[in-house]
Amino acid sequence: MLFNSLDYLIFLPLVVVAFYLIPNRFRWMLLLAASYYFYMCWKWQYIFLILISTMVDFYAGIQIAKTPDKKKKRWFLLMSLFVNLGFLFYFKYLNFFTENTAMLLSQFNIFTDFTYYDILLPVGISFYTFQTLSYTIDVYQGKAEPETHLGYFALYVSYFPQLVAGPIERSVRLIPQLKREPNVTSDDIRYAVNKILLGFFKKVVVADTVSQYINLVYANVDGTTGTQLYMAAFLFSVQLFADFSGYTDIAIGSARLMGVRLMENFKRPNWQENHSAYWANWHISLTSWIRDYIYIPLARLNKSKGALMLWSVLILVIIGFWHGANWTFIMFGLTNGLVMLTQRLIRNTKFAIAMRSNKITHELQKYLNLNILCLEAVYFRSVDIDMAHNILWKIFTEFNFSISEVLSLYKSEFLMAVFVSLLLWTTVLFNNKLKFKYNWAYVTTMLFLIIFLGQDLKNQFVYFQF
Amino acid sequence: MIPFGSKKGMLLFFYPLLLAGVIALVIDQSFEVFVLPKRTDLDNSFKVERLLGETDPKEIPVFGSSKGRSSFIPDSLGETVFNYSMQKCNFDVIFFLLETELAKDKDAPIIIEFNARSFVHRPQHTIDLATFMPIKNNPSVVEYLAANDRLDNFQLVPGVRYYGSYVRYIRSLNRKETPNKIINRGGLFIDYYPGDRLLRRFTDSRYKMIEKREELETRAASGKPLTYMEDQMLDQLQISLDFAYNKDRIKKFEDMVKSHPNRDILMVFTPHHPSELAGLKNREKLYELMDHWNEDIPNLYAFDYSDFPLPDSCFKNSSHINLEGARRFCAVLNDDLAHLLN
Repeated sequence: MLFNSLDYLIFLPLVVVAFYLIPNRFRWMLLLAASYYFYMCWKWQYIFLILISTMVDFYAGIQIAKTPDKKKKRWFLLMSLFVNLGFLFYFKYLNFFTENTAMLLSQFNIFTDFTYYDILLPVGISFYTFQTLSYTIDVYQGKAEPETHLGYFALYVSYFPQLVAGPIERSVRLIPQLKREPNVTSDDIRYAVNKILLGFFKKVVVADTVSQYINLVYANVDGTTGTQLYMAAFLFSVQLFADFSGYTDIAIGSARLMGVRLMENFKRPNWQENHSAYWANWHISLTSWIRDYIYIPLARLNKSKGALMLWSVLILVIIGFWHGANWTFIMFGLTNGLVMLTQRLIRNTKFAIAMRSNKITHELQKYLNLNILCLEAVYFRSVDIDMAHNILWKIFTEFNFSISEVLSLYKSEFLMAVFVSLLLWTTVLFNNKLKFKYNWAYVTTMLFLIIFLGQDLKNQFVYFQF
Repeated sequence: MIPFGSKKGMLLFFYPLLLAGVIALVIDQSFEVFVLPKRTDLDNSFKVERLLGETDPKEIPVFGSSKGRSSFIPDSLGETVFNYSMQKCNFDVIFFLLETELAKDKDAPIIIEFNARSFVHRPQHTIDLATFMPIKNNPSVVEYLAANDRLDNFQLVPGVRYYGSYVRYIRSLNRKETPNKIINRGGLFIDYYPGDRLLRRFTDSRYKMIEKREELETRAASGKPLTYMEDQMLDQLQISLDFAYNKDRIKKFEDMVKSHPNRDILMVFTPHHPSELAGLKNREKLYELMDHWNEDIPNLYAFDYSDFPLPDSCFKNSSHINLEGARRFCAVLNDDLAHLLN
């Protein structure tokens, strides 16, 4: 079920009303049933993957805590890692590896009968796999107590607001909130409603409108100029932010209605002075996961300056690869990592310090950083590496500041994209805290924009494919 | 602080939903009263609605895609010609238009623009729901959308039935005639040449597609594996460049024509830029089909103007001719069709 569908607009109020009509001790059943239904609306067979992950990790968590033998603990942890990462590998990365092996062998004139397995990627698998893995690792490291109630644990793995696209929550934060009697006040309701509206606005008005221009340009790369491709790259950063943060806003708002506070996943990531700050504010639940479970253990292995630099690049490559089994995502991560490394190396030079100390040059620095991010995102949006290089080549060799050139193709789509991007910018400026003196005016305006400017209700969220 | 469980708390949650309903209904009604009546004859939904209601026995309809819309000047072809061509309209839509037209008690001929991709079957891409929203209550429209798996429940709900299309309709109201934009009974003709540089960019892009296809086909033929992406790309390139010979759809079309022997159907392959035909590998298939229509089906006539000599200055882009191109084409077409149209 998509958040941006009529089905969800019926589903959510029904769940919320039922949630408050029944006693707290039965609520986990309602939410679990609702969560499984939510997932099964997409493809019911894949619920078994969630069920298997749930059972394996529930069992592993209890056994890890119960057994005093360190070796056995490690075995149970490995079992959990094997099952969860095995599913992830099979459904997301198997074709990538077999295909690249075949390609590599063909370089040595060894031609294998490469078969592409027609496997449908289970929606949200990267999200719930990371969420459930964090639980077993935390129990293994003694950072979390094992959950002994299978129902609450199953709900933690499949909680519908954040099941398919995050935020990736830790068990120590989410499970206690699911158990306790919710204390939801009028302020929470206002916040939740405003957040949901903001999410819908970002998705159906901004992301889906901007994507129309981007799709046209990317479908006709050879027929467009470097300037148009640059505009598309720039607008893609708007689309990506609006799409993903829009989803998160709806998730946070939906959970808040039932007394659960999900973590914030975005804090104005695009307008930051460097890549480190960008990644600290973009998809926070993933970057903090990678930091805690990959970067810190690696840093413990080797803390030398060179090694830390290498780990920084490596984790961005992993983040890139997490997004999808394609070289474009690996390149996206790698370019991000290399730029971040360069920025760190020059951070304490006199020039960099001078840039930061002046307000105007500091803002310019943010603008420059945004531009680099947009160019890196060309890898993210492109179908393959050749396409990305073709686009980047054209941007670097054909770019000129010509408005008439930009408007020479897909004019109305471009103007609409710019218009809704400006609307987004205004909205983000105004409602940072989502508290208004005249809340009804905000609600009315948002509803009007969503209904009047909203696009088709069938566009998937970009991050669903991950 | 009001707890959510209380009546007031629930009201706080439900009032935005109620408000959404009210706003949606107000927009919906305003749209029906102020916007829909102002649609011009260029609007797709206007065209379909017109076709459903039109009873003039002499009207000669032209069906086709955007190529048809920019190629057939009704005034040049006859007083009773109306151009029903629409963007992205292939036989997914033409079948419906043709069925509607053939059901009428009349003898006038029907002109259909067709091109290499006319018989590709992709309803999700070609049947634009917005085209049918204002006439969604028409039983034949409902049946047609349902048969093509394009009937969305929300289209029947007041308040959300036009959702996603408001801006599109309002934008289409702005389509007024200007000195370089001629609107003529459903046809749209632009007096615009993009310039050598831009046109070359368009044509180069097509030649690159052809090169890419050659490269992938050669690699696949040599036994070297293609990646999944390359395989998909090759499929797409073949669909975009070759003539889509879809037996079932062609048969369905021929059966429709044969069952109405009193109606002459004129299939016209409009002028194409040479770059658009350069990648057409199975051209002989196209010729075979046209010969078959001309020889075996008495009321079906095929006309091939694909190689019609037009200079680059007669093209709006590599896929569409401009006003000058349309004028030159229609002058010849009129002579060729005169004996069938009158």
